[in-house]
Amino acid sequence: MTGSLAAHARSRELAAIALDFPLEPGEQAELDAHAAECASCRAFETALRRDEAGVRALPEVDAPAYVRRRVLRSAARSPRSSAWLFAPLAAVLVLIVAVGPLALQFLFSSSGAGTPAPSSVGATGEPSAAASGEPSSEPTSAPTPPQVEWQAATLAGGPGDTAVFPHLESVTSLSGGGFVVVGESCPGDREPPEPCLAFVATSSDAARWLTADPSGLELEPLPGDLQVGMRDVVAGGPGVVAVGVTAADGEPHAAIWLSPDGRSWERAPDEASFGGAWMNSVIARSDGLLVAVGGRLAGDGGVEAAFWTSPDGLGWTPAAAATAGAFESGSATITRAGRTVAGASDVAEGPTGGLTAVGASCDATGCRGVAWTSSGQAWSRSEAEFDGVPVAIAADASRLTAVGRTTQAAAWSSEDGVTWTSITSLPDTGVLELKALFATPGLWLTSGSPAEIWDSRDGLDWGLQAPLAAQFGGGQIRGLASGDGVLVAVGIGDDGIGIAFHAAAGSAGRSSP
Amino acid sequence: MTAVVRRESDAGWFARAVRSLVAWLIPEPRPLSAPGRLDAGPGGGRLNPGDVLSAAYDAHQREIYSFAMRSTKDADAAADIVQEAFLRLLRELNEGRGPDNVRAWLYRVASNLAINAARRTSALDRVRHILARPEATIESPERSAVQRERDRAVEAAMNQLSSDARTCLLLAANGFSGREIAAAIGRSELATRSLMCRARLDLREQLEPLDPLGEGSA
Repeated sequence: MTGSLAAHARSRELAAIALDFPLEPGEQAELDAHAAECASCRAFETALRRDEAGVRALPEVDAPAYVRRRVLRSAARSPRSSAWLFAPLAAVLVLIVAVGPLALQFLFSSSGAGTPAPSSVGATGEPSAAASGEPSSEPTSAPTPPQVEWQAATLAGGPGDTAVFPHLESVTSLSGGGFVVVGESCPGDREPPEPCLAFVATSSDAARWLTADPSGLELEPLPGDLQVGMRDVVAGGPGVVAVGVTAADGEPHAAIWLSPDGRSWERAPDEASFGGAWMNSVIARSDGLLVAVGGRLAGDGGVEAAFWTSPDGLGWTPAAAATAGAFESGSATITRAGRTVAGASDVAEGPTGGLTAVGASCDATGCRGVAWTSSGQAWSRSEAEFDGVPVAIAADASRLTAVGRTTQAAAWSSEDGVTWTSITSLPDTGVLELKALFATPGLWLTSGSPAEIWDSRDGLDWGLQAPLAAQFGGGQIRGLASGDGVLVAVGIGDDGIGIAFHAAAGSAGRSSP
Repeated sequence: MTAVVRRESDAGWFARAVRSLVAWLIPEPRPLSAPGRLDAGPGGGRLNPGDVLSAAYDAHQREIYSFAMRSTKDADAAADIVQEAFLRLLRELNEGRGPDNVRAWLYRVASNLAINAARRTSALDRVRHILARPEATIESPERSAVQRERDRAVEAAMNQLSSDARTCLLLAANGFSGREIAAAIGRSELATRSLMCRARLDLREQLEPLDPLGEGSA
């Protein structure tokens, strides 16, 4: 080594390394020899230790209380929780004494996860007449509770259809039968960024899916935390309409895709209003008008809610605000799971035919829920104050329901989109963060993270229908649909791979008490 | 794969209660050696995973959350990381694979999650005009004004480093050796050695104006 500058630099490097790794004997000797002659480098070594102490001394803070609730509630629901063992123990002891022979027969005749209904085993242990199909003289038990049997869907490709879904965002049923699911196959963490594709697949039964033609689905990735892709899909316009976001000049750029059948797609003509904007949701109103909602970058660095309409999916017109500032959604862009939280997240046609959108306004202190309403032209901002952030909204003939994340209740109800009340039959965000909501007459479905399916007949009283996460290994549901007697749930697994499930609608909607 | 969901019926509850009673009276034989299995100690018996998780959460949530927040500079992401780390611990406990060193295991999981989160937020400077949210920091009013000033300086200096560098320095500050840090972040020791050397030199460069050589903190 030549030159004192190089020697100093080398010494300082070795001093830095030595804080974490043992030096080779030669390196240690080199460091010691230089330090013996260089007061500056000795001071540098001392400063490095001082810096280390400074990092070590940084204060700590507790995680938010809701994290503890979520974690401990998961522990309480663990199948090996001791509470589950001890709770029935005392009663069982009494019952064992009273009905010993019956208990033993019950124990050895039961098998697997399912348990036969009591009427199938008589007092003598022999199959009852009811189980054999003959009229029974035994007292009948309570009616068998409703069942909803969910199964994992497959994607065609690979041996045994083992192709893997990418992130799935939304699913819809088609008026002519079948389903379309959309998402993105560009997680946004590629280095260097490469062109990626929106993902679309179709299915006739929601059990087996076929990837659509990727032509026309190219996306430009966004730098940073924001993810591009298709975010919502609906039957309407020329057949099927999907909305989302791509990138242009390093900024988000709203995008719309059109398809006659879900198999082949093309981008809708670009509009000036798409620049700096993104679309989160699209619906087809009862009169066929397409309505898309999302957000856009405001000139002052903040975010505005954004709304568009189209009669045919080809030409899109940005909607106006009924009053100045109605679209303002805060001074800061908070991103969560690749999406901008501020702006409009979802939209629904309400019981009275008007439109209601939900979303959030964010600033440095956090985000607050917001609702907007429209009769089809300009949009007004509701004065409602949500105790949280609604991210999805749906409606039936009598009400609107919104779901999302909050510290109190995860869902709200309204008859007009202006006044909202909390729904208490769904657990709070300490247990469940809702991301997807679907409604059709007589059946409401909601889900999110963890992937539990909740259903309702009216959007007010909810019951747990299926703990998909526990059955299929975690994940979050981001899209729900129903059609042709089939329920569909799609989303993202804990391992980042897309997940898709289907079930026969059957008795869905009766999980609520 | 089919999952059948049924509502609890009286008979089903009764049968499961009887089976649980039998299982309690006649515990399954324990293996002679089960790496990762937690034991209750001299008294025998198995620790309940929920209880272990609760104890682990109370013992480590603060440091894991603080680590995650400084690593990601995002309070929301840090909360997600804490939740995910402890839920993964629960899964391990339920499967009888509880780690021998829970703290080290949590840091390893949290490090990986933080690094993965950071890779999704690369090139932030290019969109900093739309990410106007102030970076998450922790301040503690109980500390002296001088210490708080020092803390702010160190936090600000750390925030100028790459996420990987920040994660490594935070792990080191929490008592992990270079070898352990390499294992935690999934890199070779040689690569980690180079990364951490650069991180410490960059941190010193950031702190030099406020803490020149030859001067110490109060």
